[in-house]
Amino acid sequence: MTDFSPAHSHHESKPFEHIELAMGTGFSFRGRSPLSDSDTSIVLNQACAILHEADRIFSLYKPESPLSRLARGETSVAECPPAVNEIWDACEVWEKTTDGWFSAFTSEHTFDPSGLVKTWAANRAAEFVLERGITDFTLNAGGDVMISDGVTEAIDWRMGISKPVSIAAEDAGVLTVVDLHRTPFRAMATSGSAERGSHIWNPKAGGREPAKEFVQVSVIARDLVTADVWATAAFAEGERAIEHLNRIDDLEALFVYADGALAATNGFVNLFAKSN
Amino acid sequence: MQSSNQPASPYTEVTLPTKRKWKLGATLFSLMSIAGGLAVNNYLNPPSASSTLALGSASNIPAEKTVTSDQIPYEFGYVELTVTSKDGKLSAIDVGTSTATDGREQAYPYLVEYAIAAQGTNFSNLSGATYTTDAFKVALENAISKLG
Repeated sequence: MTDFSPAHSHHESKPFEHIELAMGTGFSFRGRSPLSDSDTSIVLNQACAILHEADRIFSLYKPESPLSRLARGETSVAECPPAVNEIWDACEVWEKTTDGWFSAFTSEHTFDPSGLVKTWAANRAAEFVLERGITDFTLNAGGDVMISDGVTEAIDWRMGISKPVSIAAEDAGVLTVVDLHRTPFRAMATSGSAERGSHIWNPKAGGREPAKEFVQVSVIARDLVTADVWATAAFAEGERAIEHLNRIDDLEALFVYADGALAATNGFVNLFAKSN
Repeated sequence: MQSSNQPASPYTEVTLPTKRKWKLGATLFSLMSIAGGLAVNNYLNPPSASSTLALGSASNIPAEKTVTSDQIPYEFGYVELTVTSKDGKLSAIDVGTSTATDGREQAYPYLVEYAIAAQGTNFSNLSGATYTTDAFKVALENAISKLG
């Protein structure tokens, strides 16, 4: 997109797409930027540096990360980068907010905030992009999606939810599509057992009891972190999460049972995209 | 049902009761039924890869044959598939009878209707989990090798 092409521009905005591999998954920024190509590229690279920095601090797969050292008792939260303290506090708040169904504090009494770090960092990266003047984009953070307030393409308001079938399918199909245009919602996160085995554990069970009632939960919220935390929590809570989430403002969710049956919060039905 | 003397999975941190392992496996299996036979058939019979399935031609294998794969361990359980071939083509993959949803009525039948109606709508981003387990493919290849 190096050619200036007024016939195809939206207020001189140029389409861009940037895919970054970080935290073991893919982050995809797509939208339209009023900046020059080179400035857009600089902004996106700086935004992605936020993701890599979070990975460097929080990865439990990297033995020398501050969080790994914290888990081994070799350091304290106070000695860690400030982000660790911030995430620690956020995890405590989310644990209370979700009545304990989201928990970063494991049954082994270690701290594993990986359920929060990906979308927390993605949200920071998106805020950075917004601050630099790019306001018309979506960000797909490894299957958790956010929409900026300024998106101009109708298609960007519509998000697919994948079928929970990737074990069998080379390319997972689309379960359904939601349309968040003219709603307060800007994000959707999906948790499930289809892709990773039962990677979400019931924090209220004594040992590491996997939550099994749903194979997939997709939560729609105003922001990415809220959607992500509640998707994790609802998956762990199981069937009672339907009523639980109905009591929380500004959340909608679609639940998929192992046999393919669906359940949803009361307002979800209004969010299905209209066929075009 | 699986036997009760499964070997310990090399991946499990905590040994779960056998039935739980089975139910987890069953849960995984039942995922396939969500996709219907389509996804499985797409996987089994990709246009370019069908020759790798080692099913041979109709003339050199029995008209119908059913085999069960080994129990393939994955992180939190086992995958076991029963595969039937008929006239040289895979005709069925039995993923067992899931007990995960015993006795539960489908509470929101209208949702499926709405969900399917929205399916064909175009969209910008797809939400879902991102990590793929290889256990299913390993179990499938194992079963297919027994067919050959």
